[in-house]
Amino acid sequence: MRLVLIAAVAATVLIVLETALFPFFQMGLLRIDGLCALIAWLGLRSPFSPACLGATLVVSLMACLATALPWQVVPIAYGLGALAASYLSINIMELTFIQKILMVGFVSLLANVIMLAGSGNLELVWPWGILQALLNLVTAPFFLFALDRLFRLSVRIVPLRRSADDQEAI
Amino acid sequence: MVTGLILLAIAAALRFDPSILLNPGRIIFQETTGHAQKTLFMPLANLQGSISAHLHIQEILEENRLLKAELEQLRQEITSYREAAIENRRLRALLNMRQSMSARMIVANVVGFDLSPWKAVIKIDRGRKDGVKKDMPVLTGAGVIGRVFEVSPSFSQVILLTDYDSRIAALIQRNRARGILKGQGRSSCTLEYVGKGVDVEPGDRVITSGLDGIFPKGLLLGEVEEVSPGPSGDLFQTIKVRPYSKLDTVEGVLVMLEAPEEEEASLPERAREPRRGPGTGR
Repeated sequence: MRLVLIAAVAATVLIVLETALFPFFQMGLLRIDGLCALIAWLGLRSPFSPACLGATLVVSLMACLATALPWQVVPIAYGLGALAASYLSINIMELTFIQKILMVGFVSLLANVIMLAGSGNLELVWPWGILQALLNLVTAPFFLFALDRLFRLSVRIVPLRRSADDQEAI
Repeated sequence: MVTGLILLAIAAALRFDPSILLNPGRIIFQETTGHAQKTLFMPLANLQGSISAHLHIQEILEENRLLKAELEQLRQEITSYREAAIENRRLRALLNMRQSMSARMIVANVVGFDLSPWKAVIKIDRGRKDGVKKDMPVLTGAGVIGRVFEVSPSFSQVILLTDYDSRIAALIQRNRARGILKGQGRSSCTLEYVGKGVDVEPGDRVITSGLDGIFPKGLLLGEVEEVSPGPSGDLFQTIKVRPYSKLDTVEGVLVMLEAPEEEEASLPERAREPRRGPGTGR
């Protein structure tokens, strides 16, 4: 539930910023995008858990309400992104920060390809989809840091139940 | 098992029409986020405008000088058009035709963009409460920028003519050749289905043909930027069109609530005929 709430709050803030402020800094078809980092963060934080899948669904639904893309495309793109991040994170013993950043780039690439293909604009994958994934990779440290801080803040407000796994997660 | 379930869910999702559930959700979402977007968008848009004005002061002065000269020329032309309009009205009255009606428009401010950077969609702060409906044309002083495709009580979404999914029935003003104006991304369009035998030149004006039933005939769309014969096996030319309106930096727009009659729609467009300077287009 905590993860779903954090995802909903972060997604709301990101969607408002990305649709109102970030277009001023848009270059060509490139724009700062924090939603892919959020999806990757969810997959890393709690792989394959109902909370991760629920939070991904919430973020996807909110995103598809804010875009003119066909409605199926965003949930499929973000859902597969979260699954990929979850799968990779449970198969790697200890993810380094660089690996987490690369994960955001990979999830972005996956999500961009699905969204561009699903909206009938597959020709934009090269170069815009690839460049957008690179931009997300570059901005990933900031978003991952912000999301971690948001999680810690939520723990400070409502402490976690003291299980060994939760302690470790903090 | 899990893969099967996922595939089944995707297949079900592709067949299911969610508009019953999504449309109310979308309207609520638009309404709630719209005010926040407006609060964030307006100050930054103003700031960007001021900075841009200071950076391009010389260019603006030169443009101002040219526009003043153009204004003088246009004043003279408008006078002659007014005479023609009066004569037209008199002749119509003689023929017992109904009076021509002016286009009814409202001004709207842009408050946000689409979440996907490749979708040329903007959000404006006028909605159903202001009389805005789906498929109403949206313009700026320089010409058409798109049409309304989704309306909520206080906000509307406008698909710009440069969007990849935008199609507008158009014609070339000089030779009346018809085609379909198709969006090509953020700043350009192509005029499609114009045969290879048709004489098209860079600088030709492209206007709405009125055949799509959405845009009245004679509204300015853009200017032909580049013409190429296209692939040898193709029946049509490749015509690149540059929209007159600055779609990347658009802040204020006009929503046409009621279309004018053809003659009136085309009148301002004809009045802009001699406009060839930095004030034109992008």
